[in-house]
Amino acid sequence: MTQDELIRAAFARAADFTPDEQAVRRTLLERDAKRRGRRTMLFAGGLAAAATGAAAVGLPIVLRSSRDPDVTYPPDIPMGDVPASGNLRAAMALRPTYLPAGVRETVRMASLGMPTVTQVRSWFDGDVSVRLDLGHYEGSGPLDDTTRITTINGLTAWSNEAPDESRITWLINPRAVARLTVRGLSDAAEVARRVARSVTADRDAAVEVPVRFGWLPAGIPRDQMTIAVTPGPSGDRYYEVATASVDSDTYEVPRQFSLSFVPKPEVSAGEPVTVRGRQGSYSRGTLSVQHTDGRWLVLNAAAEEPLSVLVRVVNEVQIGPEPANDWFGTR
Amino acid sequence: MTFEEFVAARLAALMRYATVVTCDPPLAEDVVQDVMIRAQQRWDHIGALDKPEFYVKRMILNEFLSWRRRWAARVGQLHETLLPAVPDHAGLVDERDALLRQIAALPPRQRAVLALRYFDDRSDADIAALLGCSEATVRSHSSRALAALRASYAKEGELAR
Repeated sequence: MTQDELIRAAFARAADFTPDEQAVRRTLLERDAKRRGRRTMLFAGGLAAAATGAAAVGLPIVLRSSRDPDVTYPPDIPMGDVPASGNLRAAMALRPTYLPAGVRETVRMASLGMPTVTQVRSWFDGDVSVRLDLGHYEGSGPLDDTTRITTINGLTAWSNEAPDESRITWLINPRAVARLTVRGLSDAAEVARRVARSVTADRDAAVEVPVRFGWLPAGIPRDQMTIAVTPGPSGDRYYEVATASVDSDTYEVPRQFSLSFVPKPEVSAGEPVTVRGRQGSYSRGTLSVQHTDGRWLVLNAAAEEPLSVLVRVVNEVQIGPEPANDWFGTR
Repeated sequence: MTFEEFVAARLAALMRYATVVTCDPPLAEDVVQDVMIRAQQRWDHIGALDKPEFYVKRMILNEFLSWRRRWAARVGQLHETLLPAVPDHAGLVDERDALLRQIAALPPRQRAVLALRYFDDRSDADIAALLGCSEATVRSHSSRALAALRASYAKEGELAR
C-alpha cells in the first residue's frame, strides 16, 4: 500500500468514529422552534416529569427552595473591561467550596470586555480533573441522548454521565450557566454532584497576566480580550492573552492574535527575525523571541498576516510586574 | 434549499468531515453544533450562495482552528477517545490506526490540509480557499505533514525492531 493509499485508509477509519448526528439535529430543531416562537416540548416526557407543572421549557425552573444556605450565586456577572494600562486582570465569579482530595488548581481563563462572559477554572491531580465553566445561557441546556434532568440547589440542571466522567450544567441566574465536569474518577457522578452543589460566588479569586498588546492592526478590537494562566508541559506557569476573533460574513479565517509568555517556547526553530532588538524566530504564523528575563514571548496569528505586522505587534507588547497568582498549584 | 433540507441532506456528511478534520469525535460534535447554529441564524444569506456546503465547511474549519478551540484542547477539554492504542487480534496495532494516531498528533492546519486532500478529495486551490491562505501555503503544510508522518513512521519502525 502506498503512503497516499494508507492515508486515505486512515481517514476512512477516522470517519468510522463519527458521532451520531441526532443530538445536533435535535438541538437545531429545538432552536428553530424557539426562533419561530412556537411553544415546544423538548424532552416531552422527561423534562415535563422532572419539572412538575412547568411547561415553559428552556427557562430556568425553580423546583423548590432547597439551596444550600452557604451557597450564593451572583445575580449578574460583571464583565471586566480591558484597562487602559497595567496588567490585565479579571475577577473569577464562582468557586467550589468542596473538591476531591489531591486536586490543585492550575488553569484560570476569563474574557474581558466581551459581549458575554466566559470563565474557566480547572483543578488537576494526574488523570483526575475538575473543571468549572461559566458561560452565557443561550436558552437551552445540553441536550442529547445521555442528558438527565436534575436539580442543583433547587435549580434546573442537566446531567451527562459516562463511566469515569460526569458533567452537570445548571443555571445560576437567567443569563448565566455553570458547568462542572469531573473526569478520571470511578465515582465521578457523585463527586460532580457534590462539587456542583458547593459552587458559590467568589469574592476574591482573580486571574492576572503581566503581558498586554501595545499595538494591534486596525480592525482588531483592543477592548475585547481573553486572558489565561495555564500549566506548561513541565507544570510551569504560562500566561496567555488573545484578542477577540474577528469573524466576517464571508468566513475567511478569523483574524486573531494570541500571545503567550512562557518559560519555554513550544515551537520549533524557524526563520531568524530581529524583534525587540534580539534575534527571534518565525515559523508558520508564529513569532517567538526570548525576553530579557529568560522567558519567551510567542505570538500566533490565526490568519495569514505579514511578518512585519507580527514583528510590530511583538515589538510593542508591554510586560508588567509579575502578578501574584499564588493560587496556581494550590486548592 | 431550506435550512431544514440542508440539515436533512448534509448533516451526517458534515459530522464525518468534522470528525476526520479534528480527529476528535466529541470535539467534532461540538464544532458542528456551534457552526450549524450560526448557519441557521444566517441561512437567508448562506442558502442563497452557489455552494452552501462549501461555505459551511469553511465555517467548520475556522471554528476548529480558532484560538478558543486550541486553548480548550490545551486545558483538557478534548477527549482522547479516538483509537486507543489497543493491539488487534494478531497482537499488532493496525497500520491504519497507527498512522491515524500520528495524523492526530500533527498541528491542526497540517492535519486539516491532509484531511481535505485525502478524505475530501479537494484540490490545492479548493483547500487554499477553505483555509483562507495561498496554494503555496497549502503545499507547504502538506509537505511538512507528510515529512512528519514519514519521520514518525520510520521512528516507529525502528522502535518495533
